[in-house]
Amino acid sequence: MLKAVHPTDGSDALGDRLPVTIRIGPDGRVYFHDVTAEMLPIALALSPDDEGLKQRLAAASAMLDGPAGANARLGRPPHASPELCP
Amino acid sequence: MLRACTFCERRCGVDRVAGNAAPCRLDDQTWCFKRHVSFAEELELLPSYMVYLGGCNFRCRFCVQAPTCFAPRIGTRVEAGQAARDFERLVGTGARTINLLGGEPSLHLHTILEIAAEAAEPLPLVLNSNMYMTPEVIALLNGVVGLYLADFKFGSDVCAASIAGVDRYVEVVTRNLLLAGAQAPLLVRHLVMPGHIECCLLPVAEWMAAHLPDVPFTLNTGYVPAWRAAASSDLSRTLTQDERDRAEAIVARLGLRRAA
Repeated sequence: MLKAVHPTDGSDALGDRLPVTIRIGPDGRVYFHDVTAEMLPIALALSPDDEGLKQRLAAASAMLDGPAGANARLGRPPHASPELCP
Repeated sequence: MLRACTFCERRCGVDRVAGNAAPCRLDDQTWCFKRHVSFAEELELLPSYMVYLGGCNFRCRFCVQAPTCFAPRIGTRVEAGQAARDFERLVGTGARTINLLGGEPSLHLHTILEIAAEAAEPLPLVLNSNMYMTPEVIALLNGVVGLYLADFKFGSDVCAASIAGVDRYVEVVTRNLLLAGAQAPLLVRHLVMPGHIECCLLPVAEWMAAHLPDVPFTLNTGYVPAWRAAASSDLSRTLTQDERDRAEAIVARLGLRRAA
């Protein structure tokens, strides 16, 4: 279990840290629980063709950094429209 | 209703205002044991501010939030006005939905109604529920909840009783899905459990196809044996690839509308 920095206001039961559980199954599958925005790139690195993860990362980046941040994380031009969820 | 609780179909009648703990262990207080912004929900909900309210009327052996979610007072006590401001702040910073979960959030109906009343503007509230509430609760949530995110966990009362400790599961939940879906947008999830495709997924999917074919359906094949499932002989493993394939085939054959 990792202790990730709380992405919002630090008011969860455990103080300013959010427990993030990552399980690796016997078949090699990786399961994230309570994954934070900052950890989405790690999940995407494990599954780089996952379109759903790409859209989640774009949504996260748009919230945290604005559209430029979203595009930077996706390797797109700064002014491209981020792939926000519909 | 809190004086003789009928929030869920256990209808225990406990006076929660008097401080008597119901079978769910809750009195009239609401506590939040965790909250964070999630990007793991269905895309249409993102970013989603997850607010975990303590206390549950189920005891699912595989619960990934257990045992913390069963405790009535872990974390911070929810005060309606303060929560409304908190939710408004998150919406202001880009959260598309406020996702109330737990535990079982419908056990905190009184607090949810107070928060909604305290908010200056309607909040984009999502009720992520096991759908074991009474029809009275659904009626009171009319106009308050913007979307029901329903966990349709079991296709058989035998499995529901064995795994979650609840009775009349199928009757109650199917009734409530129809009531909730007539009142607000609905999204239904099913977590596929190992060895429970024919008894649970299949009847769930067939019921959805027959009664709510246009409702988005999320098939979750990411089961992990959390909490007591790890020590249960029947639930102590992840799904096999064959089970994943069969689950996907059932949903595809029945033509369910998949959520993104």
